[in-house]
Amino acid sequence: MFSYVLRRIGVGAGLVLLVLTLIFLALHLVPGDPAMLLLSQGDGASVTPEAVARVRTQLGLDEPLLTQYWQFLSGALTGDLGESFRNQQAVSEAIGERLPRTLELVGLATLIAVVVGVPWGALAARKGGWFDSLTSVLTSIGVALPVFVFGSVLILVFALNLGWLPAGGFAEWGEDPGRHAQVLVLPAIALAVGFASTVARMTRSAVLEMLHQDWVRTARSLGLSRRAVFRRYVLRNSLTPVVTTVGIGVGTLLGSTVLVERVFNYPGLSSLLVEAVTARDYPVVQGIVITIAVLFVSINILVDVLYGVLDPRVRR
Amino acid sequence: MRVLTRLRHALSPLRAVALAYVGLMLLVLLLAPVISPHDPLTQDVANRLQSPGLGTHLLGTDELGRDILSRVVHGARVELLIALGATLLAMVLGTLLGLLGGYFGGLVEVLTMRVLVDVLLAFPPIILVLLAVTLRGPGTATLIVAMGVLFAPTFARIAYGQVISVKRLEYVEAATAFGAPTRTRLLGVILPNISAPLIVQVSLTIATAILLESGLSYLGLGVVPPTPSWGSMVAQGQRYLSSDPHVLLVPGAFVVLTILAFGLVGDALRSGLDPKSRNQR
Amino acid sequence: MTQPVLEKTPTTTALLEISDVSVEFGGPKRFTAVTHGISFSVAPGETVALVGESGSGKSVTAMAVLDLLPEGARRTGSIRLAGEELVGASERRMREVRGNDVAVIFQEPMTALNPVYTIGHHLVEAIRSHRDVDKAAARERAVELLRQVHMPDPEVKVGHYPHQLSGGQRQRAMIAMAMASEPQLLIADEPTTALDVTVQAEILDLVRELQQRTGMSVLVITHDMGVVADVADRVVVMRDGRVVEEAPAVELFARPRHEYTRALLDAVPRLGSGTTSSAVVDRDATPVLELSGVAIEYPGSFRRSGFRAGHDLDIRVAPGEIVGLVGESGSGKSTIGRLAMGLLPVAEGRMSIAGRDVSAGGKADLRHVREHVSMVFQDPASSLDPRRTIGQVVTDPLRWTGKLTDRKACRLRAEELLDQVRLPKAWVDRYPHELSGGQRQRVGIARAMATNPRLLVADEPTSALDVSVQAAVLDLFSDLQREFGFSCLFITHDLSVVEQLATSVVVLRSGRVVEQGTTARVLDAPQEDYTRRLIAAAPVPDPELQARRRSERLAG
Repeated sequence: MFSYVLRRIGVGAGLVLLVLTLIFLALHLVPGDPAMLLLSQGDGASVTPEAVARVRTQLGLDEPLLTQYWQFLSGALTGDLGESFRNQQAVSEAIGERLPRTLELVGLATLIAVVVGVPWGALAARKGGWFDSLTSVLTSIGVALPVFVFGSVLILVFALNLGWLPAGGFAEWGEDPGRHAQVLVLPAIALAVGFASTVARMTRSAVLEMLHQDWVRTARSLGLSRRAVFRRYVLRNSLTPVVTTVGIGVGTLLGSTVLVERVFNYPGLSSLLVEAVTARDYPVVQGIVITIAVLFVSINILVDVLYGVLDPRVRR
Repeated sequence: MRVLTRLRHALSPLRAVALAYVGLMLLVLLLAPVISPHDPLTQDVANRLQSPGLGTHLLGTDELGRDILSRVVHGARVELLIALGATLLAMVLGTLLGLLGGYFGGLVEVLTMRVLVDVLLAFPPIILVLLAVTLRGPGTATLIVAMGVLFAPTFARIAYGQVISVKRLEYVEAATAFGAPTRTRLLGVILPNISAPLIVQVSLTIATAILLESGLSYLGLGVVPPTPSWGSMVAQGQRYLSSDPHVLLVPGAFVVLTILAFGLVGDALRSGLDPKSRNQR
Repeated sequence: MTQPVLEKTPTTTALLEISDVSVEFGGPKRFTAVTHGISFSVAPGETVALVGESGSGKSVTAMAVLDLLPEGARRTGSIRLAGEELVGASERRMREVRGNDVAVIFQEPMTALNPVYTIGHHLVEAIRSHRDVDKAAARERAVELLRQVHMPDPEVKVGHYPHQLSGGQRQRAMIAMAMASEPQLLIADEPTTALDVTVQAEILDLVRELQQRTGMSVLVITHDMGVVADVADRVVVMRDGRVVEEAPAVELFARPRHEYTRALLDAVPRLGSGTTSSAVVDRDATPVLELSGVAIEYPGSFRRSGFRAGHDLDIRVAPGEIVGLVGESGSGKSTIGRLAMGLLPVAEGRMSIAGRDVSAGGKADLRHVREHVSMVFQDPASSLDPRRTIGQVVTDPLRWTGKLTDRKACRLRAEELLDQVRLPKAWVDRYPHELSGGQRQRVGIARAMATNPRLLVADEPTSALDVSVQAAVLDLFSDLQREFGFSCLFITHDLSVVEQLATSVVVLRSGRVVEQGTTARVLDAPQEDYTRRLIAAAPVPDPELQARRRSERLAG
């Protein structure tokens, strides 16, 4: 088990290296001078040579490629992600300020999705009949709801019409804990609906698959009741695929925050990303992409390790 | 014929409606300029923010008095064009990667499945598209290529898994034993036998692509205005949410319905084409 | 047999009495019966075999006893256990019966055990399902049970997961679970089908030993007449959901009354009945296949190193000769077949085909191999491409090697080939799934004949088929061999098939040749210990002979 964990971490580290390389290459493989590309606003207006020179120095584009690569890697690994084009703030500092807010949102949404999705899916598989059909329809709609549409509807109903919750914004925990919590509710629900639907679907099909396994009949042949077999065997074995789905889902959620934070005007990491993309502030975009990718890979390692804990066949 | 029978069994009334809707959308894709009652760009400030009703503007107008139905129809065209283009690209790229990685194994597998596919899957899709948009600026071509590359890993994983399980079957070994050249084995024997889940994935990927594209347009980073797109229409509508919610709700409803329809068609294809799926009771 | 008087039912002597039982599966509209009015009984201490080919309804009948039928199925009639009626009994009562009075062991112990739990966990679950035992005591009892079923290192194996055990060990663990509450009746559903013959013999011996110790009854479900002869006191023969004959084992084998039973017994190849092979062998001519000092390796990949599956092999196949390659799983017999077909490279030594050295494995060598060697695969369900018509399948070898590309010519050749294997010519446009297993295997043979090969590698071509179908396919095979005179490398685990078909035999174990010679010599006067063990373990459909062999086996 220990060597299995070590191996997963090793693979994850390799993946991070590849991810960094891809991001580095993204800037250099795009046809055209990256500095020109970043400065052009798509309106054909001419770019001053001084501006180009400034961007080139800032991104280190004048150095040999290998030197740039090395500087990029060592910078990324030590947390030095460069400075913003717009306000010269250190990128790592900006990220450090915004990241916890986004993680809080993602964590809450994941919690809701798992707590609702797993029992719902298991129940649908177990009960069948109209409940199963209803679940199938609801989850189909759930996965089809774009967060920005659903989020807007939530605002319309709960903030504008009913006035129960704020339409958006943010408050620091230290300053106003009540408002801090209130503000989180709607965005978290908007994020969680699609995820919960995916989790419910996966749980349902995993449970259905497990119900047809030979060992279910073996357990029943020992005199265990259907209920005991379901609780102790079927649910336990269904966890493995569900864990994988949740792992992938958290990653997707990290992406969806980009939209949710805009809808609810929530000043998290993702809204910083959108601002930076709109302003073509490359160092900031790059820093955030690296942060999210590293988070994503870490989640995957965690999922793999959990998988090993849950399924003895995986850990060799 | 066997497949058709199974498909008919997999078609519940709901799925049949979804299939009809998808057909309608494809028709819209081809005939948008003919169908749309007005020019989607003509402004008519006197008639701005009209509610939907049986007048000249069936689904109402936006804040500049443009006909929402016409904008939705033209938006559908752009939306579907991008989604179909990206999906097609993803299918070809991904299937090829998965076939090669699964069939040859060894170093080829490491290069295709581990290096390319796993690295692309290490990002939430929208993040990589944003990176591409930062570098290239928004635009239809950028979106198609970026999303095509992004969705390729899903196809690659499916193809890879299928190849791995089909490869062990005796008929593939028989093809080798009886002298079939590698190309015949890959494209003539293996590919037809792994196509079902890939076709299912096409429908699901179109749904995902629409979801992603409308999201980007919502952020103002997708289709470049003034070309109408559902996402940017939703974004505009947000400003009039309290007074005229229809400006947001109409395009929003079309996004939801379209994604839902492609998703349901995917489910129908899955239970029709893939006899192993136990999702059907 | 002495029979204890049962308290509850002084009038009957049967432990299990099944009368007029039908099992019906619920469809979308109505129930369809899969078995019709089955009746038989099992006396205390008795072993009854329920025999039949696939689809006969034997497993369903056995599962009906414990109401372990798939969802939507129902049972009608009367099933009495020690006088108590089980049809219509409450689920609560059925739970008490299951695992306590009646225990089951299943065919495939890999899928019958939950992969995420240890053997110990399974056993503790079995022990505690009916008795109020604390965990530590249950754990001790688990080890004890494993010892009783002769599991090696029971203290260690109790902590292992199912995938860490061998097939035989998994089945022992299954049996230990079944014995946890010392049942009155053990239902064994094809308990040895997935196992090698020597392991099968061990498992059957174990069941008999436990039966003698506890006095339980056994209901064994099997398709293998050898197993029946080995263990059964009485036999119930089923076909298409009905009982066709019921008789004491000795009587059934000596004087089968029903014509189906006779046909079934006739179809079983018997070890010791002499060869029927009429192959004309020319031992002086250039051998069709010659291996000298050959080693075979499965090529390693990026992460795994290569695996050596054959060592120092010397095998010769003369023109017209049928060589049987026998051995248990892992013996390397299929590996040699794949080597001869050019699917694996020669790692060491020399291989020549029809006089040409092809050890180097170059392009021209491979072309030469494909020209002269052909193959029939094991599983007709997976060896034919489901997306191609039968006509395409049988002529694929010609098309792929560029010998025949014209559509019309291919179709004509396809019809000719189907005719040779006694299938209707008109079937060229059918798809494999429209055919039965035996018919599909005929298509496989037709495909192998397409190139008029000089050597045909047949890899367990009948092991996936029912006995009666197997006999017909083997007959066809001999006829074709006589007509076309090809040589054959016949790979099988079944010694009786080898005896019937092969002119000479090569016995393999762990990738090495143990013994080889003419069929008569190897089977009648084996020189090696392992060959003798293999022969002793192979079940023979003759209860008296089987009883003698068993006592010899247990004594030796």
